[in-house]
Amino acid sequence: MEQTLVAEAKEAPREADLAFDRLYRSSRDDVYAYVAGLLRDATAAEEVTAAAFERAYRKRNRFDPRRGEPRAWLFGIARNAALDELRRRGRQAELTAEPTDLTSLGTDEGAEHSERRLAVYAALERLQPRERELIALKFFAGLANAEIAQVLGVSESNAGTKLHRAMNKLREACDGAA
Amino acid sequence: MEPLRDDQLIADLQALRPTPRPQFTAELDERAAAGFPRVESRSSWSLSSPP
Repeated sequence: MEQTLVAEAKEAPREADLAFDRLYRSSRDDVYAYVAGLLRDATAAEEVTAAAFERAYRKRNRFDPRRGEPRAWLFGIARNAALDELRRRGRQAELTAEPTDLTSLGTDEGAEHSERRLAVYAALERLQPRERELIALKFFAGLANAEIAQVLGVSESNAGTKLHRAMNKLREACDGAA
Repeated sequence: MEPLRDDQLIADLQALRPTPRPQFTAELDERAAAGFPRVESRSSWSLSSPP
């Protein structure tokens, strides 16, 4: 069955185009959210998101469903593009946040709610990029643990453990900010 | 501030989710519809980058 799908993808590029279009439309904003969450730079996030989709489009006929889900494949490409960007800027060790309009964070809600959200935002800033990446994949892009595992090349249980640790670090950072 | 509950932390994270500018998504949609034609440089993106 899977071999048939692969063969069909090779023989019918139009089907691959349609599949890619569906993937693009269902994942565009999620890829941006993940990349922006990792890079903390809106301009760079746009460039990287565009580059990721271009790379994925050129590789669309080489996607092998036996090796994972299309969405995980796409996020793997986006991750490589984001890491390329970090390397290009020499910022892998020390990411710097772009100034953000903090007044937009929860202004339409209660003061306590806004204060808490600001604390979470500031706490994200203090996480290591690898920890922030896990949180971005899970809560900004909405990936399941199994998909995160495929993107990072680890087991699903390992992905869950890493995510749990990242959330604990985030909570500690929030408590430290309070 | 009270210690964060799990549901509060998750709700705050989801509220902090970055969203793309409409102009960016419109331009990317156009490029997607055209089959992502190759460009010489990324200058076309920086022209419409956020202020």
